Amino acid sequence: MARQERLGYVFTLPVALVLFFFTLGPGLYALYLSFFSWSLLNHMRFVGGVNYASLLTDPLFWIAVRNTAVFSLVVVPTQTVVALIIAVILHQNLPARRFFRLAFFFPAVSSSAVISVIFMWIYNKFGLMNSFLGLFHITGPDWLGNPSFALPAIMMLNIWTTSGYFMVIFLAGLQSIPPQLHEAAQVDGASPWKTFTRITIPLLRPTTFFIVVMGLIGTLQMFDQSFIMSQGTGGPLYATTTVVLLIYQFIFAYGKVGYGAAATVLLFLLILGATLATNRWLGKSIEY
Amino acid sequence: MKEASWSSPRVVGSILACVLTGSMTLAAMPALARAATATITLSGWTSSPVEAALMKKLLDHFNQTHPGIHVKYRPISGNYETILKTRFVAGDAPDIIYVNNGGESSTFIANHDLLPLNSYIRASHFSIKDFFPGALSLFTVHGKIYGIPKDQSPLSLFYNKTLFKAAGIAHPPTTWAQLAQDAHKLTNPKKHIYGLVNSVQEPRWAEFLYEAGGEVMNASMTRMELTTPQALKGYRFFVNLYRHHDATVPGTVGAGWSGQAFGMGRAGMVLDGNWLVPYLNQTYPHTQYGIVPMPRGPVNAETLTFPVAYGITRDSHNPQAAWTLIRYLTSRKGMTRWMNLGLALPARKSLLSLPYYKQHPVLKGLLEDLSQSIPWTFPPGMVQYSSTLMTNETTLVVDGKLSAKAALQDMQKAGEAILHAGG
Repeated sequence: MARQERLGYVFTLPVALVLFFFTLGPGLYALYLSFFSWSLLNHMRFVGGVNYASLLTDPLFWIAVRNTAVFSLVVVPTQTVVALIIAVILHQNLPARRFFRLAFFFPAVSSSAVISVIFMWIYNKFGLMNSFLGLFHITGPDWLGNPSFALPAIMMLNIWTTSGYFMVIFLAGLQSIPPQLHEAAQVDGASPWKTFTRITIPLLRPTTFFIVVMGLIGTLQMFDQSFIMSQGTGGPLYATTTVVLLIYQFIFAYGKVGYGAAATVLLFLLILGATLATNRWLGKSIEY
Repeated sequence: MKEASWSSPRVVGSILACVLTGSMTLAAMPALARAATATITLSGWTSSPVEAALMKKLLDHFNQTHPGIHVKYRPISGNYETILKTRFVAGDAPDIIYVNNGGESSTFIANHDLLPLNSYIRASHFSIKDFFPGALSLFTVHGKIYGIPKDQSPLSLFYNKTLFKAAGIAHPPTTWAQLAQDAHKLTNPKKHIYGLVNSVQEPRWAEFLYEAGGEVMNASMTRMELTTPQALKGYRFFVNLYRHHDATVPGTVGAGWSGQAFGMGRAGMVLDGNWLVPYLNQTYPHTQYGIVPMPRGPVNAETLTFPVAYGITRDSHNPQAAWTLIRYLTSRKGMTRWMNLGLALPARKSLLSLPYYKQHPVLKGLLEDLSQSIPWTFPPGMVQYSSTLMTNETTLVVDGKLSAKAALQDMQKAGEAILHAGG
């Protein structure tokens, strides 16, 4: 037994080392840095909890928290529902389902940076989006230049890119539901809607749990799309400033490393809390 | 200072190897010969691949004429100062960097990341009298010179001759009243054409404050001066162009920046610098345009200029070789070479009469603006303030959500708070 245990440690050692040096270690270092004042270029100075105190009274931090929360609360439910709907449709024996599966999955394997640049053109004042709206005689805004529309524009982009990925996971979940359950329900005279809500959705719970948690973590850490589409500013008028973008700005642009590190610790607590809450809600296993 | 880096691990290693094997083999010879050449790196941002190619050409010429020194050109194409900071943290900054006029340059100087050049200037009898004093003063702190100006670009008024003709305007504006009037005449929202297209970042409106007799900060940059009646007058003139819809931001006309809007023919006028000239030549070569000095205000005729310098970093292993390169690039001859590539205007007064400018009369407006321009910068700790807060306040004003006076008061208060906190 002891020998087997030792072997187990040996085999997991490479991964454990990578995890420690590139994930856990930097995480602990960020916690350490959050108690210091440092501009990257000068000498570090211990300041205790000052960074946390001033962060919690910094209106800019709360703007970023609000933007991130709104982003997450809109994107996660929408992308989950959209992914489920597409997955259920593609689960039927439709013609050309392979083509559609590929088409919906395609954004997930494309570079987020490239897609962001393409969408900057689509959201241009005279871009594809406004031309489309023009068909209905709607004059579209300068999406990314207007504080009211910039964040929703990024939400739409994000839902589009991630739904396809989660659709594939839902498809796998659908395929793992034993077909005899559906057949039995049919024999008992249940309507398709009832089978869907009483059998399909409950049995998809482990899949849904995974998708909601991954969606939450992904949206709470959103950075690249805001960074590219606002050209690093988080503007207009802080409309696209997310917590991670703000952390980047604090550390690399404004030389407030400890301050930014304190924000990463708070973001960690936020994500941890959201994940634990989701776990209590969806994490229970279901057996029939 | 040693010309060759004899202490580099490779050289030490090969010498050790020779000692250990007890014989100086022929194989070790080329390594020693290479080490006798000092290798230095130069990094700067690039506005375009064209600029990088031209810089490389210039440095190739240096490498050919200076056998003892080899320069490697390592341009940084985006997030220049951010990347530079990480290189400083790693203790691995390039030998020579472009020192910006605004941004972090004051922080780099304050943190001793750049070497003072006075001893090199003295030892090599390098005359600094020919440089524009304003440009040089931007990189001088307490008498120590941290950068030798390489070039500069003042803001001038670019106007689209085709649009001016169509609007029946014979001459480009020379006064504020004409500027406002012409902007109004040129604007045609149905055709998505506006009189003036510029972002509302502070370098586009600060010059109006100076022209009205006000200023953003006092000359020694210890106080904010945004709440004077003169400052309000200048600021109000700028924001009113936008509030009356005779001016707009580039996004409104589907452009990413003012130069693009100008090339697309959707801007009657833009306030821009020399960088727009090569861009138009390449991307929108059919634009019929002229450049005139910034229109005169009620008190002054002033504009902003953005000088850039070469500095030597504290991480340089070979400051003497780095200085040789800077001396070469910023000498009359070297700067003439750079000016003849047409990317920026000279930092030396004597080069205003270059034959190049006679061959390219379109640059006349920019050259004239050099004599009435304020080198633009902020003290350390004000990057967030100037890049975000000032732009946001002005965005609120041009959108009609805040009064000009209130915005200036906000900026005054926030700026003073930073200055009191010591940056």
